[in-house]
Amino acid sequence: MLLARDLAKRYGDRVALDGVSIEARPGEVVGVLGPNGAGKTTLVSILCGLRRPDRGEARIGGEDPAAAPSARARLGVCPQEVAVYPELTAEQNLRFFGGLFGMRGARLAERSRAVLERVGLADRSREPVQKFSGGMRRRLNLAVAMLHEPAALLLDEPTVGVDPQSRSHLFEEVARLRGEGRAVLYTTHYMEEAERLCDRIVVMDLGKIVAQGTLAEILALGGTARRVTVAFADGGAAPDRAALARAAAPAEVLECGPVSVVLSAADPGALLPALLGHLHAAGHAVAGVEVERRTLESVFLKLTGRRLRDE
Amino acid sequence: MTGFLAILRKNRDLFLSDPKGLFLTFLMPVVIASLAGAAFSGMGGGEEGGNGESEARKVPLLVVDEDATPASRKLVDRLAKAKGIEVQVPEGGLAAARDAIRLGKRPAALVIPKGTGEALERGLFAAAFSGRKPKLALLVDPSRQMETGMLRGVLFQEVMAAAAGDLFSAEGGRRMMRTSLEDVEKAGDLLTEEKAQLREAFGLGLQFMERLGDAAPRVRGEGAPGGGPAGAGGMPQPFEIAEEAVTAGGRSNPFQGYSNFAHAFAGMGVMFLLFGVLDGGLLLIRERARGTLARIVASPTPASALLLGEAVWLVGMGVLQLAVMLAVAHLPFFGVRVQGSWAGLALIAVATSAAGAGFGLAIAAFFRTEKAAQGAAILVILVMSALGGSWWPLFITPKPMQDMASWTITKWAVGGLEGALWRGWSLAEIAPSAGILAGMAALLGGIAWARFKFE
Repeated sequence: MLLARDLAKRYGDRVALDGVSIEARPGEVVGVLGPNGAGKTTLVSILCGLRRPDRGEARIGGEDPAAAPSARARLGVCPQEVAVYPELTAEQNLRFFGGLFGMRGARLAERSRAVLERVGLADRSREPVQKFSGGMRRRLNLAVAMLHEPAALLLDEPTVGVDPQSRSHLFEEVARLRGEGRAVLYTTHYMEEAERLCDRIVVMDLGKIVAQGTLAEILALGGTARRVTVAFADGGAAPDRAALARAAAPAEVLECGPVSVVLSAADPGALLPALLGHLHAAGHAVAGVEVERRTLESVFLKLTGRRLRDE
Repeated sequence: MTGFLAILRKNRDLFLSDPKGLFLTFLMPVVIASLAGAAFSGMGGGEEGGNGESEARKVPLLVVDEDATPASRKLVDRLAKAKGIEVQVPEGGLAAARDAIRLGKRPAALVIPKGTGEALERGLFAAAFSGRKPKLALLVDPSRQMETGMLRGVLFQEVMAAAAGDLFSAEGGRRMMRTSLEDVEKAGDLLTEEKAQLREAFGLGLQFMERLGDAAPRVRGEGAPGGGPAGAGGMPQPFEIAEEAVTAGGRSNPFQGYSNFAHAFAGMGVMFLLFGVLDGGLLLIRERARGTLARIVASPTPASALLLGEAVWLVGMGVLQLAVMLAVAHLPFFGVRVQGSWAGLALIAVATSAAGAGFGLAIAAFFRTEKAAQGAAILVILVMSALGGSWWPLFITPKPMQDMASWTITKWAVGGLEGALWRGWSLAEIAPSAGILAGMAALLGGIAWARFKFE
């Protein structure tokens, strides 16, 4: 339904996209994860027909969105910024954007009511948007994208600056869109969102795809070893490193100090009984144990050497 | 089409959502035009202002010599040599002179009717007392009071000098004294005592002239015995200048339709129309910044519909704004009337709004930020308004500025509106101004279309 094939785009000397290929099928939510400057917004703007790629092709339902109005008619776009008119009411905004998609009369009124119900704004439909909270505006932003019942949706960082309640609302909507058989491309730099919402994830950095697949497949790219940290309560002498290494084998001891020890283990579940038994026998009072959870953040860090979010 | 209509509806909703915008669009122009009209209604008529201007630029005066006698030609020659005016003879005679004034091309025309030469030859005092005064007609453009005020002063001086000129040549003086003595005898409206006094005065004058022989008398200055108004001290003015304002009302009602408010409402109407369309241009820039432009472009509605929708909206708003202005101007207090073609008025209003729309869209195409666009556009509008005659009549500006004015929207718009209002222009007479504005609209719209970034 939604396809990007070998897309490349430059702005002067800067490479925005370099050989990016992505596909979202009906009933599938594909997450595009990457830090600022990864090329996500350029990808979205090519897919919705705003820009033409230097190389490659974009297709919505098999047609080029930059050339075919029918391709754009199949697509709902929820831009990163809240792209509605704050002076107008929610209803007026929907009437305008619906008109752009050829909707009018009873169908437009019915669809407006329906999407406002879905995003929880039905009771505020006649208020100017400028009176809405940030989260309500974001929900209206999504409502506009859903208004004409598109087969494919581009949601470009739809939860930026959103309160937890609205975020939860938006997550429910994305899940519902998938349930309705729509193809959704969801860009974000929040790994939690990608992990929670997406069937497949594309990790981008500096205009290139660095990894793509299901969550499990991506996490596997981060390697098998996980960090296990054991903290001590008494703050006495550091454990004997050689004895610890023998007890924890085949895990590797990374740090060994009076406050804590850190090990790298492929199977933390198997490591912990022997490790804790050894430390108890050696007279160390264990205050806590922390096993690293493998995340997209850690995978991204491993793959690119950079963090997902700006520090 | 649905998308196009949606754009129009959206603009209407946005417009109505902003009470401040309503005020600026409709009420503010009326207030400013009222103030400007009231201020300019005190302008002109004062000869000092007119004379001051004449130093910088000669005021053209059309002269129609229907008399064509040596005396009338002498008067024309005198006028041609006078400081501050430039005598021009219209090829088409009186009709052409009238048209030139009505179309705003010339400020005034002097008509020297048949019999003027004879009356001039009878002499100053004969004319004053016989009732057969030279009667001249001055056709004026009532909107150009500063120029016509100056012309009145020069004309008075030169005609007075022409009428008195023969008195101060030896033979002419003797002839006039004799004629005057005859006229005094014939005059029926003079008291016996007055007749006796005049008889004595002209008799002494005749004796004086005969003693001089052929020598010319010594007089101060070149011609006129005083520049003050004739008739002061009891002597009636020895000639008449009948003034006629050339407007759509014509001779029967010369000032019908003209008021200073006509210029003020036309000028301010056009200026505020430009401010109105600027807001439309800024809206497009705002659309880009808000992301709504991207959303519009990402819809199946073609991008051309967006610009076309904006243009149609701006033209409609411009016409509405002018209509409101003119409706207010029509109130008895302002007294502005449409004396020309209604179709022409509609045409010039649409053409003005179209040129304004082109300007607004071009501004949106040239600037990426609202602040930059606003700063530059306000400057351009103010310069166009000053150059093009929105604030003051064009004729008071120096020639180079008048030449530059031809490149402004305001000149053609204000001129066309004034033509339709009080000058009584026909549709055909308004069409050239409208055509130039339509050309400007096409040019600016084309630039906007070529440069506007939809991304």
